[in-house]
Amino acid sequence: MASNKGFALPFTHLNDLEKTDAMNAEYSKTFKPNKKSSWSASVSSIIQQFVRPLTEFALKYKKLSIVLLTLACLSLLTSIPFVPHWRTASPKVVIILAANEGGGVLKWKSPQEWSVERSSIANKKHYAKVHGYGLTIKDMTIKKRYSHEWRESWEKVDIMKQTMRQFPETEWFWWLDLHTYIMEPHISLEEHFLDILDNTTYRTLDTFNPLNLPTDIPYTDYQQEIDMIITQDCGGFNLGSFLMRRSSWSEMLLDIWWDPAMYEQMHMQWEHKEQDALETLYSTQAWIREKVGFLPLRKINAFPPGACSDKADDPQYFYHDHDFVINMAGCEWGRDCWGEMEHYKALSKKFQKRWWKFWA
Amino acid sequence: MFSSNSGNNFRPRYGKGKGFLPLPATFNRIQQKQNITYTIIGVILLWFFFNPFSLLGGLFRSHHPPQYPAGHPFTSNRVIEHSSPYIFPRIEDTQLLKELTVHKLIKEFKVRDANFPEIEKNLIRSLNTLDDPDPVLQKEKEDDENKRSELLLAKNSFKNQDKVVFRPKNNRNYPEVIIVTAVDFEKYSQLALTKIVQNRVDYAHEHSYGVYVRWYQEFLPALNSLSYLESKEKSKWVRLFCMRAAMFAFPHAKWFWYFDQDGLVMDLNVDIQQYMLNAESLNPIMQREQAIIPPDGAIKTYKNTKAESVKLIFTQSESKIETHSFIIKNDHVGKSIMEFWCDNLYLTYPNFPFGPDSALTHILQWHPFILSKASIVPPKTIASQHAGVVKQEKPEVYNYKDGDFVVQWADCVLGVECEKFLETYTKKSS
Repeated sequence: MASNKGFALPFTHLNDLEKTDAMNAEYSKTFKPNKKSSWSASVSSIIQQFVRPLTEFALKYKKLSIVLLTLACLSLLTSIPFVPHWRTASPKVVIILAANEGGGVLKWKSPQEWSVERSSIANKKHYAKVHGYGLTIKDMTIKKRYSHEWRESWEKVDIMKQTMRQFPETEWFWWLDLHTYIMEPHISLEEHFLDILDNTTYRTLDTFNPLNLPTDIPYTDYQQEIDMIITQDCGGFNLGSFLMRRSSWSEMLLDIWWDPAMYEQMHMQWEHKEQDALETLYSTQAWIREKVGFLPLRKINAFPPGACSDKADDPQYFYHDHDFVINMAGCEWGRDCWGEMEHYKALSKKFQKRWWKFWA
Repeated sequence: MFSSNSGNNFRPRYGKGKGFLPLPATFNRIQQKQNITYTIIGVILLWFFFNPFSLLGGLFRSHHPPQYPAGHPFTSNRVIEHSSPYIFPRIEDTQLLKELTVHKLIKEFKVRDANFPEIEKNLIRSLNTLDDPDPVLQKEKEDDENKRSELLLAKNSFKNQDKVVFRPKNNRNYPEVIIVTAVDFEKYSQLALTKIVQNRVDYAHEHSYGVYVRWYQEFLPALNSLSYLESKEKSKWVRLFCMRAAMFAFPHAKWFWYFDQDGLVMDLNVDIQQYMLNAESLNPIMQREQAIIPPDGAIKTYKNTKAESVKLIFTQSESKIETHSFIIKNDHVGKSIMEFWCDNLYLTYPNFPFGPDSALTHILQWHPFILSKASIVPPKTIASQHAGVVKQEKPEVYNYKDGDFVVQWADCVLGVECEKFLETYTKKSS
């Protein structure tokens, strides 16, 4: 400013500048009476109305605006502590998809396997997007810490715990194996069963009990809220598709599910590892039993004709048109996973196609 | 256009304000038509918000959630309601029960497993399994038997003790702490047992707490082996089953304190809730970063456990966890810990030399969730030990001194020996 004083500038005050600006504007208007204010001009003048005070503010309080801008960037773009962050509401349900099961260093993944994995992931991604659920894809490659005979296939529990930490606000966690396909993606879990749990689930094994577990154990109080939703197939509990609610109960179950003293005694009998362990806990411990609800298999876990082959004439296990989810359980043991996946993918596409979409 | 007689009389075709023609009858309804659109929009919005489809759908759904059976005691589907908070068996039957022997009080039979037919298994069931399905007939039968002989009365009340639950007329003065004890009619005499139970009842009465006492032998169906009661360590499992039964009998209590039969409450004026159960009194005495296996085990209790979240409180001796006296909170986690602790696979595990003490040590070492809910307190609080023959390095930490809250004589084996201690301490307390 000091150097400016040397020049004989006619306007030394800001007010004077503004005055001339206003005069100029008036002048041009009077000079061109037919000038129509175009649409773009009016928009830009509106924008200027908002921008001008902002720029003036920024120029006037430079330091303050730098601080504010930094804070805004930190809040919106990072997750550092001590700064409030804008977050979108966390999803009510998180889908856990187990990918790469048994993969790793032992074998190459074939093109079919890649394709199955892509289809399955795309299907869950689409479903999660439609209903605003979270989706987390967990890698189940063979790791050294599970290589001991006793720890084989126990990642499920650890992944569940890990996901609960990852989504601290989410209530329900839906575990899905890789070889599943959501056939009716327009159905939300809430309308399907979550909002009407009491009416859709059964909690005693009086009616359907493929394993002949004891139906009645002392001290069981079925008034408790359901914290875990599973299904039963022809061979007992099926953990290919199940849900768990965040609670102190589920925290405790995930903690005690694998117990060395129990597993040491039972690992010869427990062929299906965590599934058998859960069955044993269910049949002996009232606190487990009173929080578990069962859904009919076809509700979230329908089987293709190849699975449960010794019960092939029992329709309650097998996929009917418009069932919610198909689980190609055991397709890697002698069946064609890719073929089944492609078949059900095409079927789902056919069912989801609307009449007005004639070009698709 | 210009009519002959009109002259200069021009008029605008439509008048200013008042025309000479009346307004059409529907003119003012334009406004009303707008109202109709608003109404339609409003109705659609209401429809959308209240979604009558869900209501209609609700008509087709069943309105009654399915009914499930209520919880029941360990050996029976029935309960006997009891209005007094002091639940204990007929101590006066001690002699009769000894005469009957345990074999008459339970039902033993042998089965062969379908999967392993070469192995013969012994099963022990409660006599309650023989009950008549009709409760009225069963009651008549028992009343008749009870009149006929003292022995049958003792037998019937022994088997029915499992069904007894506390159901007061109203829950206003519900006892907050329940003292749980299992007593052995083969160890102590009737006189001694009377003193032991009377001491619990006196203490409970002082603070309007509850008492739950059961016979050791009643839990044979849970242990499923007669040999368990013969071993000092294995018979400790009874404590856990007794505790679980107490939690069923008093569903609304806050805390359950298992206090073994080999002990007495010496200072009846100490209110255990104020003394150590409230968060503010528990917080300073919780032993944080204390090794589970003293003195230098690798797994230690957590440094930052909150007193409010503690569900299980117990003490340690110089070398291990002790369960002569422990406390469980009555909520779902507390019950879960109790049930998990007395799991059948732990009960039969051969590598637990100290029975439930070893099981608890194992649980705390392997399951951080339960460890985070557990607290070790100094032994002097609920488990001061009689200065026994075993030399301890720090007797002042473990041994009973006059003025302590409780005393226990867990070392003694023979009933006669134990009764001497009982005698000494009864004299001291009165």
